[in-house]
Amino acid sequence: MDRIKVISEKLDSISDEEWLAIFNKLTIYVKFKLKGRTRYGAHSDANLGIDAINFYIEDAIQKLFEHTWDWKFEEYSLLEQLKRVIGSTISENVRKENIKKNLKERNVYAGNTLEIIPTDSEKLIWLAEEMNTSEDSTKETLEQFEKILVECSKDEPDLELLVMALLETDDSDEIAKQFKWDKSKLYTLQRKLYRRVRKYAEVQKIKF
Amino acid sequence: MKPNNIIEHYNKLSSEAFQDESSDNLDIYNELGIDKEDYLAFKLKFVKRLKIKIKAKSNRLKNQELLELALLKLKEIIDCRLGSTKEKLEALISKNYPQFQFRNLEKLDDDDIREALNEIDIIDFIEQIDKLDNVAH
Repeated sequence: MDRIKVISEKLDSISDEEWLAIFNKLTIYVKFKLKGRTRYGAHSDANLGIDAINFYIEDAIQKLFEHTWDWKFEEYSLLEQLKRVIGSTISENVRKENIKKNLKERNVYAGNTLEIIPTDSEKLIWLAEEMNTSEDSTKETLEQFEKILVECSKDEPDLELLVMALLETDDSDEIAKQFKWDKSKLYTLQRKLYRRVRKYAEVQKIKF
Repeated sequence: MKPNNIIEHYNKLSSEAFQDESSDNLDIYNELGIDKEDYLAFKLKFVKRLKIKIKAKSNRLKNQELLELALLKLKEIIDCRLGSTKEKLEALISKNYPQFQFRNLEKLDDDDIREALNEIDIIDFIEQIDKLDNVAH
């Protein structure tokens, strides 16, 4: 049997329950992957035509069904493969957006006859996008965020430990091991911390 | 290793925590302003629609392949085979396939034949032609 047929049959055999679990997890995955980066630029509704979560999830599923992206089922579960497709498409869209931006800037400085000068609002959008990119978070933003984490955990010993660990290591397995927590307890604490931070940010009108 | 970017690290762990089976994720759906049940039901419909679309496309392609096969077989008989087989073919067509409207087969171009083939049961037609071919051999 050829590979395309095998993949089609595998996709057909996914039950509704499995699809629901996959959509649920992918929604969370994309939401956090693009956190703070959907208002402007590559992942904005204006650029993608629909909201980023729907776009990236549906696009990835379509690519597997249409076999424009090979599901390496020998190596990855469907969820893992879809996350990989989404990650790659997100990077590709950022790359395209950067090329577009560079071209516009070059046209301005080269004194090109087909000069495209960014408007003030475009410049502000680009700046905001850069500031919203987690990779580009400024030192001040990171320090402010650390303070928020400390503030939101201070009345509960386990949350205090979690924040302490978050600031010291980027390995969640290590955190769980260090405090003899199972993953479920670590995740429960992280969700609690998330809710507190979100509430704090809402009250203080902080965006990060 | 100490994280380079605490916000990124925090988001990554939050993502894992909310993807965990023990979470109902309602907080996240509320944050997104989405009704979880409606959203997931809609997404399930998306997959079902996609499956139908893919199947229809695949059927169209298969049908196209069959049509080209029938055209080839028909032309083989028209162009090179024994006169008796050609006569049998014409008799078969005039009796069973009025879509060809009793036209002189030799005067039909490929597109005319495709058009006529489009209107008939293509698998049955290929079987009938194969029978004629077998008789001729």
